Amino acid sequence: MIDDDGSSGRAAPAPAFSEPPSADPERSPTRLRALLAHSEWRVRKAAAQRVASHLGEPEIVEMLVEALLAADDVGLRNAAIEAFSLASERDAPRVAAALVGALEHAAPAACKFIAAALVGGGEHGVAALLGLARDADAMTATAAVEALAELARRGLRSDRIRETLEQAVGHAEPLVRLAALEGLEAMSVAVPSSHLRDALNDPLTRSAALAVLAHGRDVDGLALMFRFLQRGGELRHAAAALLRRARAARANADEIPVWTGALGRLDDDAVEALAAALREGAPEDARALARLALDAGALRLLPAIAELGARVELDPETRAALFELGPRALEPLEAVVHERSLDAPEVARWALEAAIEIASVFGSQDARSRLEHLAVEFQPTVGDVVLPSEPQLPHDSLDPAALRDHLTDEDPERRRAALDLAASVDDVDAFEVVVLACTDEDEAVRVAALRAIRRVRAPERVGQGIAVGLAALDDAAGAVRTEAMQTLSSLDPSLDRVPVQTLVRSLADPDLRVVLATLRALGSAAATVRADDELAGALERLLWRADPAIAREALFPLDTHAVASDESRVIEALGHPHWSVRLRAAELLARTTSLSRRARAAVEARRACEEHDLVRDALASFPSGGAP
Amino acid sequence: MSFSLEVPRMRRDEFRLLRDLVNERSGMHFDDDSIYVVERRLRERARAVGAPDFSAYYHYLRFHPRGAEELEEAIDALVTNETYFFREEYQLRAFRDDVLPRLHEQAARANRRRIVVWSAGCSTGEEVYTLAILLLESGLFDGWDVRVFGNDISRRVLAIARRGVYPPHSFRAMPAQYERYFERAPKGRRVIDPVRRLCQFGHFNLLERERSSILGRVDAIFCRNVLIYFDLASRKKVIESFYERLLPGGYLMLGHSESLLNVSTSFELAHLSTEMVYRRPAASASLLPPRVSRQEGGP
Repeated sequence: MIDDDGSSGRAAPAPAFSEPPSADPERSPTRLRALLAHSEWRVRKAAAQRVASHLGEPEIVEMLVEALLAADDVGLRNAAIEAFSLASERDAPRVAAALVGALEHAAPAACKFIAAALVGGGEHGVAALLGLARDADAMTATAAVEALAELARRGLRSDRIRETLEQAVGHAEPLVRLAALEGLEAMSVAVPSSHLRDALNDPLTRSAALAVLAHGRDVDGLALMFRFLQRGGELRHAAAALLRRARAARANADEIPVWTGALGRLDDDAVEALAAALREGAPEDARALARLALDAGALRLLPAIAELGARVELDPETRAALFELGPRALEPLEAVVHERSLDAPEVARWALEAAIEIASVFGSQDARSRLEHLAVEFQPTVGDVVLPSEPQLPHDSLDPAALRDHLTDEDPERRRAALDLAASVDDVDAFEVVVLACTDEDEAVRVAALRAIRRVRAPERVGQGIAVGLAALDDAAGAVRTEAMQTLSSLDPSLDRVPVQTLVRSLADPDLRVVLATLRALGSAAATVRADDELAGALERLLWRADPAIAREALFPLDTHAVASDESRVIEALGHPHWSVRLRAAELLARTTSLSRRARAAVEARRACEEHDLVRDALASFPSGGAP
Repeated sequence: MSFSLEVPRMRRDEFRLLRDLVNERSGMHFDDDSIYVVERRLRERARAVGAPDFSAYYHYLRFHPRGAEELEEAIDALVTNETYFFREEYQLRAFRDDVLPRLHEQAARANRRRIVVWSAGCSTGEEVYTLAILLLESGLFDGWDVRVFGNDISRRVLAIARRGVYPPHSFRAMPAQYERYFERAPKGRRVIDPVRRLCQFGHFNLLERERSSILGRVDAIFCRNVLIYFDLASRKKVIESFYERLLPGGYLMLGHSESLLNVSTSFELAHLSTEMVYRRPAASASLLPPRVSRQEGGP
């Protein structure tokens, strides 16, 4: 019931519309108009809703158009716009026709109101809105773009709307740009990151542009998102956008190296922002991001992943990725137990159970005992924890005999699954069947076999595992060669037993995943490995010939153990044609505690000619010493 | 590529290109007289990929993204994979009666309760299962770690081998006493689990030395009617890798029409009661028959 206490104090102007003599007084255009013009906003709002249900009546529509064009009454006009915007699908054609008709004789200043109201016309008003979006008057264009964005939010999709919004991203008027970005985000359109550069550089539109990047497909866009995450300024928005993008990541192999590289290098603020995103985001997105983080070995996100695990069921792949972290995950998980046992006991319990499960397979007896004592100590707060007497895996896939049985199965999926589930391969029988599985005709089985070999602990098996890994580097399948390199890095982190020639050949592999795995292995190994001239030459070639994502990975942190060729390469990378490589070089130099004279000179020289905003920012952060 | 139902006859230059490509990738060799066989066997493959002629097919194998995969299919089509259970039974009898006891003795002397036999070029797997049955039947290796490994270059035949189900013609030479190692299955007869459990299969070319090194050391190698497809240089490489894979005193069993003549080798001939086979010399010669080596121009 709409109340009218008559206290508006305003004389309602004489209506110009016609009024059927037999109309219900409460529904008469005059009456409704009066309510739309009420001084109390709640009355106007309620009136708008009532009017919207009568848009099938021509006289009501006529009245609203007149109210829309009423020059002096802002409240009435806005109420009319709202009423139009609430039009049903059935009334949309009539509304659109009326508004488009009004456009023909409306004063230029009124076009923006009509544009705003055309939301109610649905798809029937799109043609008019597309025209208005190009209007010379900025406010009209803004209103039209906002209306298109609203239609996109309501589910209307069309290439013409998308094109218009994409064009509007470059509009001179910032509010138009903002509205266009919001519309594109609502349409979940993949906009090339190059189109969004200016929007990202503008603080007004940055957060909206980041949201659009969440739907992107180009690797540069992803790198930009991480850039904002790491540089601050829009941490929360960047993290939220990355969360939404995570789910699509697995489908785009080019993106994985960027995810893995960036997630493995997070600073405190970035960790906090991503943790918040994991907490607040949709479960499916959060799971996807958790999986990426675990694959990247981002241990600093484990506390947030523990929270996620306590809140939603992790999918088997994500659990397996956690498991694959092995002993590295134990300390962070234990820390979660200590820190969250009081305020979030369910999180502490989840972390403790995960740690015990991992320790029971990968950890020493001491580690397992320590965790079991922790379970007893924290029992009053976290409750009872499941203590497995053996690894919590399907029992018939654990012992060597069962493993061997499964590996004779004709179904490659079963063979692969058996290898994935083989908890320990130190037993000589288990090890041998796993080794032979490295010659399986199915690629996924060979990958799983190499992954299983990584779980070897007995020293006498490690040497054999390395021999198998070296042989597998000749495999025809890139995925297997990639896994082989990862296995070698895991069993021989210092790469002492991997011939330099092998590393050089892997750096020239046609499959970029192999190259990336080799670079990661070199990054984990002692810097002295990279001092070899031939290897340094191969890294140099990668810097200048490879995909920018690979070139970035060929630059290693310049810590105190860095070799001369590492620094030379980073300095040279300041002159790389691709901005993201220059940016990585600048970041690495910025983190160096003391720059050499040559490095400082290179930074200065680059600063004088750098054109890319993000790189300029990074270079500007250099004080005279080094780290910002 | 235009599609034609009929692929023209293979020209000599096309034959040479295809032959050299197959040789380069697999070591297999076809002499000049094989052109008609090669043409017949590859015609269907050429049709399958839509090649208008054999030149286009060659180009496909060389440069198409699926070329490597198709080359495997081509090699599969060229190789006669015919095999069956207990093929060349006289040789298997000698293996069972003479070789296995010797291997048992050698292993026991070395305190090793393990025996590994490799069927090199195992095709559809009948030989692998045959060897596993013989090992079980011998009664010598109860409680031992027994493994039989089979490899082939063809994924198709390995899939059949893993399935372990065979049609009647695979059993045409099998003595009745071994029937109990098979059970009825919808499309033939299936190898029973205790035998299957001993067997593992892998996919690689015998020329891939690094890959075969994954096997470790084995007690015996069966490579029957496989080397005939290789040219001399490839045969030599394969034999050398067999030598590396065998434990000292280990045996190499070739097909009845094959020998190591014309191949320089460190293998010695071992005289069994009914057969002569090759063997890698053992560390100690005390229980071995006199060494007879045949080397062409060797030391």
